[in-house]
Amino acid sequence: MKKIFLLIEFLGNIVLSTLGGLGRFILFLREVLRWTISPPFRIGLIFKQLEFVGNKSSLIIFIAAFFVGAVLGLQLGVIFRLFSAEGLMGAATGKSLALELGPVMCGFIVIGRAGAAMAAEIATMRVNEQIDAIEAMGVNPVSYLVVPRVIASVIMMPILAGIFLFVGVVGCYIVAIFYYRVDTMVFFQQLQWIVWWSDVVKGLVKATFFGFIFATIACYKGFNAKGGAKGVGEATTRAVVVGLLSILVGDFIITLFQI
Amino acid sequence: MSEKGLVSLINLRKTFGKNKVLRGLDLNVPNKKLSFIIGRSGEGKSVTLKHIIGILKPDEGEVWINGVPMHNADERAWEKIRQQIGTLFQDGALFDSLNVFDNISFPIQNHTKMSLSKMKEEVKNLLSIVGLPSIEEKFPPELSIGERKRVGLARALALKPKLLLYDEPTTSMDPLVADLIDNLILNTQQKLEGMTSVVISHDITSVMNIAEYIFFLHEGKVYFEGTPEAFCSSKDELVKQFLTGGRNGPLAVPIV
Ligand SMILES: Nc1ncnc2c1ncn2[C@@H]1O[C@H](COP(=O)(O)OP(=O)(O)OP(=O)(O)O)[C@@H](O)[C@H]1O
Ligand SMILES: [Mg+2]
Repeated sequence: MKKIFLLIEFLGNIVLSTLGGLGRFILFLREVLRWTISPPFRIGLIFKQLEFVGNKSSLIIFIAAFFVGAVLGLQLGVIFRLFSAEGLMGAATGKSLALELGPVMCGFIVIGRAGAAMAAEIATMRVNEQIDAIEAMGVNPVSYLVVPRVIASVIMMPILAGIFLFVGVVGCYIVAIFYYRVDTMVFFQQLQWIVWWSDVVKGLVKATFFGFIFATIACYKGFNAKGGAKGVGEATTRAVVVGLLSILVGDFIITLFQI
Repeated sequence: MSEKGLVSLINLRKTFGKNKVLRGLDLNVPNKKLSFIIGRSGEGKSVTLKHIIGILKPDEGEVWINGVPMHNADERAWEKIRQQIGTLFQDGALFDSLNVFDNISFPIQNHTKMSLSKMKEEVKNLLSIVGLPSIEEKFPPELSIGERKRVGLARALALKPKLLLYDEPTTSMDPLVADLIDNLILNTQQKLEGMTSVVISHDITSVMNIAEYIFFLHEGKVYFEGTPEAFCSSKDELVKQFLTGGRNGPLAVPIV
């Protein structure tokens, strides 16, 4: 009997702390939104962050996209060949890249690069009292540190997802041409027929949401870091893990609305 | 209102988890004077200072700044107040990603519309005030801890505040530089009309050299307050032990 009570207490504590954490995160989101729409608007800082997010991830995105597209082409080609429909492989690859793989893979890569760096940088500023110093000088740290990063991520993610889609299709095209001997005309005709512009837009909208999700989570985790260098490491790990899971859950929810 | 100075903390209580740091602290900073807050490491000196600038909010008690109650004030009100307060943090708290110029001009850039050329002049001037050469292009990780603190001090002075808060300005500096900083604090205090300064310090020599008023924090309260003379002539065992930094006395662990 006593054990059951202990178990209930244990579970209750987990539920309470999860709800409490969620509540604090929502308050943080409200603060971020409030400072997004109220001055000062820090254009210079936004550009700095755009460059940071873009630069950090673009090379990896090129390489990853090329090989993801090529591998998809290889795998799908095996199946399509059974029906002598190799021409469709570009279309199938393009569709999955546009709707799912582009935004999600991009999200994963950008979290690993830019998201982790954001969490670590802000966490370091927190444990070294730099955020206190910002506040002490009458500057709101959310407005100065978080808002430019969130805006930059929201702008940059769809751009990166677009690049991912394009490079991925190129990767698939090369496999199609050289490995499966598909005709270029056929490849692109099928691609246009199957992949609609609305698919591309849906994917980019997803990427935009993912940008918002990972940047707010990374900044939140950094912002609430405590306890020296160890705290910085913990905040960074948590930001990456929670960011990845949130993108997957978010993907499911957004897809529900899109289909 | 007359009994309330520039800063009044009334019956302040602050607990972190199970750690009761402030336990009913009353502290009235004398206007236009150079006051010191002293006490053992971990007694809550930095926590007290953070209540004065509203970075920490009390669990209980009141914070009055310039005759205005701030304990229930919103962030906007605090941001206004903070622009008139210069704070030097314990480790300088410089921004690692900005060079010395951007660090010192951070408050100027955020709160005034000063031109770049004027700002450059101003930063040069601030650097020379704290006894540093032209190191505008350097980044904080390239500086020694003493240099970082002086840059932090220059930044605290940038907006010409009416109230200056120093958290251990001379800790981890060689005696010559510590002396320079002491003189700097004293000069700033005397040169600028109507300036009020609060210094947190472990350095009993600088306390005795330049303090006009002393608060001694112990167990989350002001245990003793008064002029340095009163402090010196006190018969209290605890105060005497703190003065001599000795092992013998009511405090189990030696201070400093
Ligand atoms: N943000 C915080 N969260 C939790 N505990 C804190 C926080 N800030 C301070 N403390 C705790 O409050 C106590 C007092 O800390 P404080 O930094 O004020 O000491 P101090 O008197 O300035 O000491 P020192 O002379 O070493 O700087 C310490 O035990 C510290 O662990
Ligand atoms: Mg301290």
